[in-house]
Amino acid sequence: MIKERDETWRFLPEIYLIEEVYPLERDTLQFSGLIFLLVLTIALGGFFSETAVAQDKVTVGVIGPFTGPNARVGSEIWRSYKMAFNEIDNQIGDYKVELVKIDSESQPEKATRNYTQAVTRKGVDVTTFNWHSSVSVALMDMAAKYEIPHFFGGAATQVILDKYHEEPEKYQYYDSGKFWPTPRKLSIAYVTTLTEAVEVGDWDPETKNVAIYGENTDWGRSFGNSIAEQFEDAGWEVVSKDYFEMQKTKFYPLLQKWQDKKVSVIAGTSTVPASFAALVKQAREVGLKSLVIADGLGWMGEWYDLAGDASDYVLDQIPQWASQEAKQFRERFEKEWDIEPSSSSSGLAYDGANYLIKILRKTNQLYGEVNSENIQKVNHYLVRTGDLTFTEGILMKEYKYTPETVPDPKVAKDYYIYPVIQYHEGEGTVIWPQAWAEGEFEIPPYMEE
Amino acid sequence: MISGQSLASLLLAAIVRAGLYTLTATGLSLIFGVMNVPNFAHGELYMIGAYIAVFSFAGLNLPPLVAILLAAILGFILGAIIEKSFFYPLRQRSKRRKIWIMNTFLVTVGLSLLLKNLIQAIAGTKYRGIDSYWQGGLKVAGISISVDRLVGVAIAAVVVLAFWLFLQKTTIGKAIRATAQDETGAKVVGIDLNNIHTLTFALSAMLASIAGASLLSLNPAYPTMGLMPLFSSWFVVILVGLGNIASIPVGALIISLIETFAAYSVGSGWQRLFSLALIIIILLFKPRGLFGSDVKGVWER
Amino acid sequence: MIDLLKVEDLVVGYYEDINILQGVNLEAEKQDITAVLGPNGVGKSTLLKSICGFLTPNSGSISFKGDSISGIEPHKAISKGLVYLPQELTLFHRMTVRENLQLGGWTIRGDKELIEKRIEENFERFPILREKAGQHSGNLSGGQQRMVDLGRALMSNPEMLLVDEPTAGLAPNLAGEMYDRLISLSDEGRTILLVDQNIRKAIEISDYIYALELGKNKTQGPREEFADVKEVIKDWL
Repeated sequence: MIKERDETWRFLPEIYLIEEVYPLERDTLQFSGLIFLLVLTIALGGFFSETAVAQDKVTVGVIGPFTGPNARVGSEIWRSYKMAFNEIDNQIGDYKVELVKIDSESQPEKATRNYTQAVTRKGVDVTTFNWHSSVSVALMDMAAKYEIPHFFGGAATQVILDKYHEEPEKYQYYDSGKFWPTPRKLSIAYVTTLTEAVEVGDWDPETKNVAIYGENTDWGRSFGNSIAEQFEDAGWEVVSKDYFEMQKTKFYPLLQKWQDKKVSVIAGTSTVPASFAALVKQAREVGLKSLVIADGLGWMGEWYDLAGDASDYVLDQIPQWASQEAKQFRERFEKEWDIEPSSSSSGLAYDGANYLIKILRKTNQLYGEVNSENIQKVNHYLVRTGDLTFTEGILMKEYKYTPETVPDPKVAKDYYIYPVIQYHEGEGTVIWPQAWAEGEFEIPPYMEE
Repeated sequence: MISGQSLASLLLAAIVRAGLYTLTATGLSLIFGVMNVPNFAHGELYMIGAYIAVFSFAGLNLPPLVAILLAAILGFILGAIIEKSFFYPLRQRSKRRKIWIMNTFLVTVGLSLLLKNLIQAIAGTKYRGIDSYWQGGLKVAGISISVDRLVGVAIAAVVVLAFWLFLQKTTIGKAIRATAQDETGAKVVGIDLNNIHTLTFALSAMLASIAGASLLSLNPAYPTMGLMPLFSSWFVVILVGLGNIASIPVGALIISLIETFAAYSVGSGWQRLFSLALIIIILLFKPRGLFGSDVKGVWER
Repeated sequence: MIDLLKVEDLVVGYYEDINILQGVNLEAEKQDITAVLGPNGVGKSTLLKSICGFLTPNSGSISFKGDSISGIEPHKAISKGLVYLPQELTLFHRMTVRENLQLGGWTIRGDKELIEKRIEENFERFPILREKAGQHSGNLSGGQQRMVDLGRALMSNPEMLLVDEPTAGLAPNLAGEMYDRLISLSDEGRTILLVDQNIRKAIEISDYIYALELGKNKTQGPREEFADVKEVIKDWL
């Protein structure tokens, strides 16, 4: 709960200012000041107690939205990292590992401030994960400034890739900075799934109209624009694009527009479960006759409690808890934290943590000293080149970076890939790729009425 | 062109939305009118209503209406506690009115942070929602609406009407209005302002809590869920004029219509822009709000 | 005769170190009209505000019917039988005349019949208010608003009225009517403490007069001693 810290400080000078103008209000000011200090104390909640001096110690900064609208994701990320490092007793050779939170609060400017504090006060040696693209874009410059490597960001969008390629030397600290490939590499799977269904005659849509929607963030727009292009390339017509504020929960006007435009498919994404579930439910409520592609609906454990059976027949892409290790992890996670983990945040973060452990061990083994500089050497000369890959993950067969793909991981069968699933009563059935398919793509009955 | 059916369906969506805005904006306006407190913790009272409802409906398996009623009662009590523990002592120490608004503003911002973090510490970051209170929906002339939304708008209408009658017809309601209209006059006739302030804050918290509870299936409980209703309520309150309670339903409907039609025809990213632009234009020509000819905070006349 | 109200060595100020009243003494006898006179800024209104609790004395004492009421909470004054009519009207502008009167009976709100009876008495006292009963008080003329104000004050049947500049802003004929009202209230057995700029008229209707100067008592005495008004005024200037 580091969140409110800086906001609170920002108010203090104003209080002093007022005091100069109205010297008689000292009592009142002291009182409101007191309340603020109270809030401050609670909000800080042990922030300072985490501060310690680094000595034979590696400090790993876990970046995530620990407060704010995506705090749910943040808590999953943190807990997965905790689990992975606890399993090795927080020990790399002779080094004690300390994990510290760097709260992005889902906002780049706050993330930047908290990042700076973590670096200057806690001596963070390496950072990892993060969820938002806008945050990544901001922190890339910070990483370059402080020369601190960053591994395995959950942020996906093209802008990170573009920025990296502008100055690969400067941004080398982000060589393996993405743990979630650019949306277009994944979104094509939906279009392929539908195109195949039409080609083999499984589906004969009334129109070839597609509506694109998404939260108004780099991620939402990046996904929406990628899949829009891919649909157009496949011969569909994109009739509208709507990007809305993250926490929006009322979609009736939008749904009416889609009904009027007779769209056969709506495709988009959101990272806020409340918002996403509302969209899916309201689509059913008004009787929208479209296939729904809801990329990321299932990313949060409790999505089905919110969306209910309105999610039937919805398409999503989500890594599956397929392997034995994955299932075991899920059980351990539930037991330890009493919440249901989602594969796309907890599972991915857990793999990221273990890959990072592998890198830290390698650094220790090669150089005998684990610091930012040496970790970056491993990053640049072993990870980026595809020499140090990770095959012990629970979600993907192999996490691999190559000079061609960086900062994205390699996306392909047997590497990083998300299957397309279709929901029925809260369970996802894999329908693509064919090799993994557990069931057939089903046309929602409400489309045939 | 918009077809008749689409138009009807959009109007319906706007009316449902207006019901929510009215509920939350009424309490906000009342607190400002009676206590001169710009309450930026109003959204958190809405949030707490949602949490109470989700725990009583999904946790304790109480019937929906009981869950909403419970949210109303506990919201009222919480409001009273907040007033007595924050604003009452502050009022005892505030000699100067000029700085009261600034101080209470700071207190409400602090309160908002406190409540958000407290809820996150207790209930965690999980979205706690329900599929729906009542199954099913209606379909009339091609327009579908779920029972939840119908009941939601009905609750808003009944509560707002009952509240209006309370303010207009009962002696205590009149005392609340009297305090808003002339604080000295209220003291002169013997009204204990401390009680009126506590009651006002409690009632306002109750309205916000009801709004949060009755729309649970639309907006699951979450620590930061209060921000959007807070903004919308302020839009409405600023539009009709601070402290003007009677015109709030009209203001709420105007904002809802603009947002609904802007989302439909221009794109949903633009709806706030349109409502804000309207507010700016109105404030340029009518600085006291659309209907705010003579109604303002008690200390500003 | 009994002192209904007794003020001793009253020291009051808006801020800690600046006292407007610096040791004022005053006694008001039952059923009298007692006037407090003096030029602007000597603390006449401050005195009234302190008596009914709108200001808290820094020292000194105030007692009413033998009980100390120093620093009483303003809303409690009325239940002691003490009602304050500030110079600036404090009507509830967006409520009807009848509602204003009803709220004047806030302390007896449990007794609806009594409230109705007192409203009826007010309508007899001020027949115009019966006609305007359903109108918002904010829409009435200045003179009518003063009547509502006085009527509202009488709803609780107070023993004593603290009246601050009751004729401020009124046309001479209306002002005269207001003074007649005050006399008849006194005849009804109510005690009145009157602060007024209109020295001549105030002296004319009062039984006892206090003159203040810069927060202190200057002179005092029964009306007869102030018979030569011109002399008094000259003295103040």
